Amino acid sequence: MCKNSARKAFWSIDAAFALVLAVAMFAMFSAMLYAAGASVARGAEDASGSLLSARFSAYALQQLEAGGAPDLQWALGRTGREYASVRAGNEFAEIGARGADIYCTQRLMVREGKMVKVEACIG
Amino acid sequence: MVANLRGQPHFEATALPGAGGLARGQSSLEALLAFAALLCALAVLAHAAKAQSDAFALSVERSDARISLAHEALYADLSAGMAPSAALSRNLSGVPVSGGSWLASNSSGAVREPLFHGMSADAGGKYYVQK
Repeated sequence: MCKNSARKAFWSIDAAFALVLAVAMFAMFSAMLYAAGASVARGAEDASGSLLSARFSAYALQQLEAGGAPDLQWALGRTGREYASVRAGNEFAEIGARGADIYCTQRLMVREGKMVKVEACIG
Repeated sequence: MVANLRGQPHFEATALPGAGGLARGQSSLEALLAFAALLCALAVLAHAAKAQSDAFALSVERSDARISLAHEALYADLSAGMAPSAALSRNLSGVPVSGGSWLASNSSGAVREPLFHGMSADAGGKYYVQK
């Protein structure tokens, strides 16, 4: 009888331990996949945002070189983003709500004979 | 039932015939049920793992498409006004949509990148970027 109880207890502990191991391994696997997926998506989002800000800075530079000002409202409507700003020397213009993910590109341009730093941000 | 030395009937103090087999059968059934439950639990875990792997693969595919599309959109915007080049007319992973103001991925339709310059395609499949 004692042997039988010990055998039953052994199998119960063994099965429970196997189940706990399986669940723990699955939880780790799940967490790892989620983190990897989020990391990859975040990297792609960063690359996309950085390249978008580079293109936005090209547009802003083009407008400033033409003697005008970049149309931020048009840029927001065109890109479907929520925030855009352009700083050219001491001049600054922005539109929309500044969120957490803002991508900026800084460039130099010659304006009225002087070197001016232009920073275009979009997010 | 056996007879003792005095010829009186005597019943052996043993369990009913077949009781041991019944207990063994019950144990086997319990073990079988426990094993089936374990297999079910493992099957559920494997199914969930497969679903998560598929979601991860989709995320990687979308991210790859987004990065490719972002580079192509950069190239398209920087080559605005130029003649259609071979690089712009080939190997594009997206097509212009919404009147040429967006570039949509061929592989993942939900992935789109905005364009600052309108893009259009001719009948030959070459893409032009407006100045």
